[in-house]
Amino acid sequence: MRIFLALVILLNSFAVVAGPAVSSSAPEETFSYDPRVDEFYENPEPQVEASAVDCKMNAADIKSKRGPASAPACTTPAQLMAVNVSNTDFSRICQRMVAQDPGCQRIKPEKRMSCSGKRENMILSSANLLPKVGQCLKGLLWDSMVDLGKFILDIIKFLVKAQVNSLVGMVRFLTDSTYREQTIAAANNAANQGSRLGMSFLRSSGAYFAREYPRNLLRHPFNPMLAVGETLLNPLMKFITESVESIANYYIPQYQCMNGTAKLYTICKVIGDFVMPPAFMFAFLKNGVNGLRALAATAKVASIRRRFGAVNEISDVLRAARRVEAPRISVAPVRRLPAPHTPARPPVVHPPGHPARIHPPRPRPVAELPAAPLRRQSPDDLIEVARSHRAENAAEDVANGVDDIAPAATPSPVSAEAAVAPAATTAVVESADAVAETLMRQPEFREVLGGLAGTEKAQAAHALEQLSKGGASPGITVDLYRKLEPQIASEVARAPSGSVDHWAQLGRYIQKEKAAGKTDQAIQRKIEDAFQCR
Amino acid sequence: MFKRYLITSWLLAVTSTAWALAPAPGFKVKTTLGDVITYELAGKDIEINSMDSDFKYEDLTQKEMDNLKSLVKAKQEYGKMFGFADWKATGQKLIEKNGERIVLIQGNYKDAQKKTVNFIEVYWANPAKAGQYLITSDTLSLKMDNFSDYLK
Repeated sequence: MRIFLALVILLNSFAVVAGPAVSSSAPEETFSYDPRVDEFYENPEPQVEASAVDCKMNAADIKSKRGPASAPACTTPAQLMAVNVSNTDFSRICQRMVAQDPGCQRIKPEKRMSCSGKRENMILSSANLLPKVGQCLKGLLWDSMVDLGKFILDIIKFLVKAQVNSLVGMVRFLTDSTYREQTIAAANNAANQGSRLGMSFLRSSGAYFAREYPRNLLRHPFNPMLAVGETLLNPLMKFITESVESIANYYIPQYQCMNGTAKLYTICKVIGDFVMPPAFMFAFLKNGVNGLRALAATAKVASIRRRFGAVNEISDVLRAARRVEAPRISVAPVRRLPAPHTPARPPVVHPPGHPARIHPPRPRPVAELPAAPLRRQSPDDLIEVARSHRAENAAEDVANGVDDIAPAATPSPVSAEAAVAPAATTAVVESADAVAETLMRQPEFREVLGGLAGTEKAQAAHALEQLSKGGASPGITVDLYRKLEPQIASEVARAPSGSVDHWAQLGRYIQKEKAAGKTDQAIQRKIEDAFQCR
Repeated sequence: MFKRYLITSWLLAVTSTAWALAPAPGFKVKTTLGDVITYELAGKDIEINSMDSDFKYEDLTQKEMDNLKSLVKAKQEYGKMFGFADWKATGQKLIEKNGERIVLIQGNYKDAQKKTVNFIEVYWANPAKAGQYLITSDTLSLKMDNFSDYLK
């Protein structure tokens, strides 16, 4: 019996899931980025949908016969965005649509879709994909990296099954839903899917990925998305964004009538409300929007639907308040949305002659919870900038109105950093932009800052700036930053409030030592010894 | 009755594992990601990844192995996309003995830090079972002839 038990334990040990235990020594990182990926983005395949023909014909009608007022087709912004029309036709149809579509009418003009060109209404331009979408996806995926890894393994299986064997094809598979659907359908219908050994040979790519991924995760503790590798990063983000966009589009009727910036803002707000379920991404990968419909009955999506409901109700309350009263409604950022909706107070009825700009009692449809603490604090001055900027933004957002989207709710501790506020992050980013911009001129600094975004970029830029004020060479500055950053980050996290600016102190120290005639190397050695990181 | 059930289960477990190729004693599970299980050998820079396989005993033939050459380019494209760039095969071999067939491919690739990683891919099958494994090392030069040091 003992032998049996021992064997059972031995057999079971094969099923044990162990945590990663890889050495974290992180030498300098470089990516092999294939230029064909960029080429693809610059020359994407044109997407022509069934409705395109109708819209084109109607656009021609508008031109030649009846004029813009009579354009009968392309009645929804989604349709218009999906078709290929010239800029002139786009403008004409768009203007008419914006004037007539009730959804569009509910959106403030500055958030509304732009009729001057299609591009301004798209969020997925290569310019904003990484810095903006990546920033809000980072919080989303913070604790879902295992799920993301599994999802990538699924993608590999799909690619092999669909016989997508070129890099450009893989990028296209992830970024072009029409192509994806076609290749999956073709693979399902194909009588011969290739040899089984051949497919296993390609599918073993998953084993390579599973080997490298945990190592890369350890190299990017503060930006785990980078662990997927730079070649995959952009198309994958585009895919994830597309799927999030689809859910936003599915649940928010006005979404398609927003311009690119408002869409991006909405997506980041929506993302804050739930952690992306991998099942959703997988369903979207397999079946596109139909996959969404299939998922609609599941508990997870039901909960998302309820949250969207709450978001819309809150917006209604805010809108009602705005209708009654002045443009300067000051509402603090809402941190968490409870599921049930609390009815708004009835609007205050002012006596005749009451000044129009007096604020009504503030509607409090949801409980306001204190902001979650930052996981890693920014340096004091940045936090100060962030605070004031955030306050301004919060007031502005509500007064101007994303109209229909309430401030984001906060998911679990996952994105505590992001939760402190997208606005805070934005502020840090903006305040550090100039610094980062200047630093990026140095190739050594570019190497550090190039792979970062948002708060992390701001923090890194601050650190590098302070260190380089000491006058050491960029190479040594970067080296010191890389070695000291983990220790200083943990020190700041341990004593966040009123903590000193370690980087500034170090910069001053370097400056003093340089003035005393010490060489860069000697200073570096001394600091490394002090921090015990040599 | 229960004792007999236990003995039967034990026999089944022992016989089925005895017939399958598995990481050599000493290898311990390090991580599991989806269907890929990663094993490591304490104190040695060597890892084995095992994953589910779809091929069968009859697929492991010289002809099928030769056909893999036409997929090398595709594999390299997967490598660029999924983090094992510059994938190169430096040798391949088909072994058939004792009712087992094994296709071995050895080579190397570059990881995200451009460091060379050596590998042996192992496709193993007997008429009842099949399995595929990836043996990798950053520092050891792996030879396919020695694969049985790592997989028993």
